[in-house]
Amino acid sequence: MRIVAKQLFVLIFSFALLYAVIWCFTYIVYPTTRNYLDTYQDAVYFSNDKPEYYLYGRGAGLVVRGRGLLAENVSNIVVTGASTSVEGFRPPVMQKYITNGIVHNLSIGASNMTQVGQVVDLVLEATPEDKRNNLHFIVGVSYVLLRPDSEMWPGGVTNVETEMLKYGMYKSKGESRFRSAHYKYFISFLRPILIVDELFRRVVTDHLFKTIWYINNKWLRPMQFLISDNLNRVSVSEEYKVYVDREMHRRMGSVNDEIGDEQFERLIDISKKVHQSSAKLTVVDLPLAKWHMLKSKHFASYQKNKMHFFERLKEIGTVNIIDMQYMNNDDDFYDFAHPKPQTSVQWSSYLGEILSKMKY
Amino acid sequence: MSFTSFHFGLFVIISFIANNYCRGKTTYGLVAFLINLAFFSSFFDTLLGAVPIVIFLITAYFLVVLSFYIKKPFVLFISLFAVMMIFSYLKKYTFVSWSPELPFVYTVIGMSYILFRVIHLIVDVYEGSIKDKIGFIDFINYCCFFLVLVSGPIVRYQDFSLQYLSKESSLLLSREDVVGAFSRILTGYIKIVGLSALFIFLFSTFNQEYWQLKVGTGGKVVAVWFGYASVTYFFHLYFNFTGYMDVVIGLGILFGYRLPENFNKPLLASSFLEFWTRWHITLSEWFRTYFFNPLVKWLNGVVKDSNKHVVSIGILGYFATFLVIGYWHTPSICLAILLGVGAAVNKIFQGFSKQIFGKKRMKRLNGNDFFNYICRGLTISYLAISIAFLWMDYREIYFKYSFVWIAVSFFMIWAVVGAVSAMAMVIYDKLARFANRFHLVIENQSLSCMATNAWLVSKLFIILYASLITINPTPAFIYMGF
Repeated sequence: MRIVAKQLFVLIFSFALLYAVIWCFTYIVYPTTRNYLDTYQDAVYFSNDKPEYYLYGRGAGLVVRGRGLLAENVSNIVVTGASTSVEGFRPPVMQKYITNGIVHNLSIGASNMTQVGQVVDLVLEATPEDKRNNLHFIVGVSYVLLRPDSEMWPGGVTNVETEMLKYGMYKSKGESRFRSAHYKYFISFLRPILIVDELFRRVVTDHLFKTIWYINNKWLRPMQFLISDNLNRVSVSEEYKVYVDREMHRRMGSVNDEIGDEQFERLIDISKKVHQSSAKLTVVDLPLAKWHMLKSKHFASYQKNKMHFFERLKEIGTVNIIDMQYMNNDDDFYDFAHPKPQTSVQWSSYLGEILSKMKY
Repeated sequence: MSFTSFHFGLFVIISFIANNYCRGKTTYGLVAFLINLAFFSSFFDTLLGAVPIVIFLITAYFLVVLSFYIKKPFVLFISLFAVMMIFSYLKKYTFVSWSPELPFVYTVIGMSYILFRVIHLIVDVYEGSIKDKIGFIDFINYCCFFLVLVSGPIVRYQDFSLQYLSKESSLLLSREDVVGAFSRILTGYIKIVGLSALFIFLFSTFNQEYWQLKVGTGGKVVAVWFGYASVTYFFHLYFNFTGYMDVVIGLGILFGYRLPENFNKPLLASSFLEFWTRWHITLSEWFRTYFFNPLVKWLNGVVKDSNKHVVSIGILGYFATFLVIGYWHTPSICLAILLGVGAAVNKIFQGFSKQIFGKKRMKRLNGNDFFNYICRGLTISYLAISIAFLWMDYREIYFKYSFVWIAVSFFMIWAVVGAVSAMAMVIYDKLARFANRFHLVIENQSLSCMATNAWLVSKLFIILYASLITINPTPAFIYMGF
């Protein structure tokens, strides 16, 4: 029995030692050098930008595990939304206009308003109560963000919820195992596990997804133009326009291409939550390529319905609405919704200037 | 109590301490009885739910004792018939569905394996292979030994008693034994929480795609999704079961038991029959001893000029044996028929190919790598398609598609999955050879204590990583349901 007990002790002790060594190592490999969060790496497949690697993951993973950083700043401006907001609002550009607060971009590609609401919840959870009045959310909205839950999440679980359930952080949907003040210690404890995850992503999944993405778009779908040395030079083909119409009809899941109230109501819920927590909210009505706005029935439906909901938002209070819908030409987009890199600078500067006037 | 639960870990530690501190045969028997009882009772929500299986055990013990005192064929027949009928009734087999059901919920955990052990005891006691009278405590400790209760391996009483009854002092284990056991346990958990979980995740994804296909979807599309689903389920089952066995055998060593191996690289099997000599070996051996051999013996006695029909009797014996094995796995008749046909066709092919090619050519062919990979691919894919009836209801397909469509699809899927599996086998072979060499170096006894521990720690790290990364619960142990 002694030999078994000895072996068990040696095993546990060696494991603890190894874990501690890897834990220290993660601070050398991934030192915390930045004071802002940015989910932009998700978009690196589309461009030649060098990917940035975070230990805490990317997209939804970065939001869930990296948000501890928010508590360290006195004032935060958090951009949320889907891929258009990821690419359109660049924190380094916006930061030039802002002296009183740190700009973060926690938008997640392929989101709808339900997921944006979850990001808002997580950010609120990570922000100490006494700092919430210095918290400002920017939500980039277009009709694409209003895809119904049944179409967007057929399994009933969003990407954010999946990340929340990983590593045992949350017991079930929204039920945390830790007090909001303690979860960051747990995430810190997880660093040796996260580094394995990150290395796996870097070595295997990134290359795999990039290859699949390339094959898919190069040969299987008429989107070859996306693979360009310079996204600023991309122009959209007629074939692609037809493809987008068909694809959006399929994705939005509405027979008559109408935008329902479900996701608008989620936006109302978000503004209520933000208002109750004494934070601020700015809704940005995002532009789309004009050729698409003219043709899309979804867009027409969105235009018709939005006024009513925007009025309701204003009634809640502490909500600003910025209309950017018609500030761009077709040439400013590399597809129907995403801005070219040079357009991103324009958008970010525009928003930065507005925020600076709000005394940031 | 799940083998992957925290409670099980605690239970093992307490049992291990109790197991080591007891002295003397009687004390040891009683302590083992309490350990087994504690483990067994963890599966019951209510006392009433345990009553049927307890009655089954008491009846079985009575019949074993009866066989010991009255060694008559009639008593043997009655005893076997009685235990099988009680078993079938409690397990709610369809052929006894006419009988009224018990008016309360009860658990039949490990009952199949208890039945195997009881039949073995009755037959061997009757035949005189077990000479000593078996006490009730020893009987319970044998039938309900916590490590093998749920799913085997099926240990012969003679082997079990040699180890169990000889325990009069604390165990003497060498460092190599302990390191080997720890390594085995950790490998088992890697298979369960890592590989089995990965494959069940892939399976659920593919299965969902498969069932979403509508009637009229092209055969190729159906074949692709069904192929993916069936192969991933097969690998899930493989890692699930072998992982469980690794844990059981490893713990067995720490508890002082050398349990028989239940797997011998089944993915290397190049024929259906060879597969069953490598997969769930103790079950195959049990069926050979207590079903196939008596059946063939009986057929030889019944059939006139049986010498002329040796091959046919053998084929029939294999067909019937695998039919029963299949039916035991699941009441779906499709699996039973596919296993029965697989065994029979394999036997026919063996004889046929020997006649056509001759012994020399067959030997040369069997030595050919390409031929072997194809055979292995076809074997794995045939089994993967067969066991699809563990997760798929045949009526769903039957109502969806015509019989001809199903038949054509079966062969198409078999051929496609077989070809892909054959290619996978080539990769598997290379990986297995590399892993084997690596393992030999790592687990070499001359290796320093530090290196051995580093090896164990890396396994522990993989387990922690695998269990944290997944958002799905650890996969349940499949064979527990049989």
